[in-house]
Amino acid sequence: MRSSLGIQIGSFLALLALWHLAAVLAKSSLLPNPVMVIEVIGEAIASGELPYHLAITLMRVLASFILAMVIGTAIGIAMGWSRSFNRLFDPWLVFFLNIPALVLIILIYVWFGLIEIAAVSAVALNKIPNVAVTLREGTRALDKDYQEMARSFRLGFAKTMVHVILPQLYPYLAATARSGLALIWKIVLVVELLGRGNGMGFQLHLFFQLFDITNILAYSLSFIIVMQAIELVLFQPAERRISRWRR
Amino acid sequence: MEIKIHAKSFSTGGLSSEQPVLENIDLQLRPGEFVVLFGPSGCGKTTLLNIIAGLDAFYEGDVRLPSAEGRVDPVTGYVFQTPRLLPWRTVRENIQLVLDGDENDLEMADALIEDMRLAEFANSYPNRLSVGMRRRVALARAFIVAPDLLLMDEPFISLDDPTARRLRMLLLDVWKRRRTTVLFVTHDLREAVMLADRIVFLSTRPATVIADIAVDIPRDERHDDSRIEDFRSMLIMKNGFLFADP
Repeated sequence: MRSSLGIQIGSFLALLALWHLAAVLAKSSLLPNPVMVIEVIGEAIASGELPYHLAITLMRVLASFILAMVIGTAIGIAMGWSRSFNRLFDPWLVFFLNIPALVLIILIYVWFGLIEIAAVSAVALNKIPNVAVTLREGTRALDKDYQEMARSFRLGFAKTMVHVILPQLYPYLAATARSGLALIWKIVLVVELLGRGNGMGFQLHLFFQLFDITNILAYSLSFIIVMQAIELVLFQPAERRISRWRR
Repeated sequence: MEIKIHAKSFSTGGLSSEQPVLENIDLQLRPGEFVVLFGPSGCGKTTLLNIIAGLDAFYEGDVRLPSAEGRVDPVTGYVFQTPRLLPWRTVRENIQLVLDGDENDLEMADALIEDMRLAEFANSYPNRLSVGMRRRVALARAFIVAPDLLLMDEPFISLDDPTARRLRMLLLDVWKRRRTTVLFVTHDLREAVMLADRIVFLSTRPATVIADIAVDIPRDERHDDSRIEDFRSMLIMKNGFLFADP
């Protein structure tokens, strides 16, 4: 465990070194070296600008994530449970799975305006079908033996859900939450770039127009670090906790 | 306690539409009685238990279970052929789960855990326990609800002989102290003789009752293997037709 962490850090440092070498060789303002980028990160944090936009983006990620997980899970469970429901809505699912994210975003902005709720729903809408498909699989794989046990002991709906059904769905929820977070934050940036006046996407767009590569890299790097921290601090401990019963 | 099933069939999905499983089953259980359902494998014993447990509503007949005072619906405890413990819950959590969860209940659960010598494993997850131990937990879970009827579906199958024997003794011991009506399914005659007040014999499919024989070995001699064996041989001698397994 500790040695694998060491390897990971070493590997990351090697990437930084490679970047630095490339920057030194290129001698171009279009490829700043890591030291310059880290300096800019420091300045942007000091001015409060980076934390502000980062926080805005994270809030949007969080809102869309929760929306997508809750709605997607409900749809997925319903489709896994009921064959007729599945037959009815499977074509819808296929349709929404295959709509490009950008098309959904544009349509929703056009129909509902460049407002916050439109931005968040556009992102959520892009992820809901994926969540639904995964949870449908999970629901189909539920062990009927446990449900019989729950029914014969009259556990009732709430207890059955919490103690019998959801624990069987945790692996599916964890998988879709992971991939969901990765997908959602990328789409949030697009939504911000197209129709919001703040957030990471908006800032990146601004820097793009100014050809300010140092700032683009500074913002991206900070964001990657924050997302990785979320993975380490939230997802991995949660997963360990949930799966501690496994041998 | 009255269980009457006129007919129960399964659709096999094939060309022959309906396969009859149970036919004219009529069981009367006295309160506190230990009744063993004995029949060949695959004759529909599990189906019968599922109907009684309320897991299967598609049958013709009538199941009437009395409930203890103060209960609206009768409570059944079910020990399945496999333990069916929730692997993501500890032994204690598995047992507490089937209770309503007030203070009193939790104390009761701990008392039973102590009673069934499970205390040392109370905080373990089921898949860290031996197979015999898991079955013991399943037994505890069925007893903790103080069932009006305890259903047991070959609960000691595929255990080695000493473990199965120990569990049978434990079952009788707990049952003596927490008396309830038991319907126990098996196709092991020795087990049936050891446990039962009365053995009800079922035929092959479609299953129907073909004999109903009281076991008159006193309860305090059930641990004596020679008594069990004598009774068993006598049973086979007198009623050989019951065991003509085609």
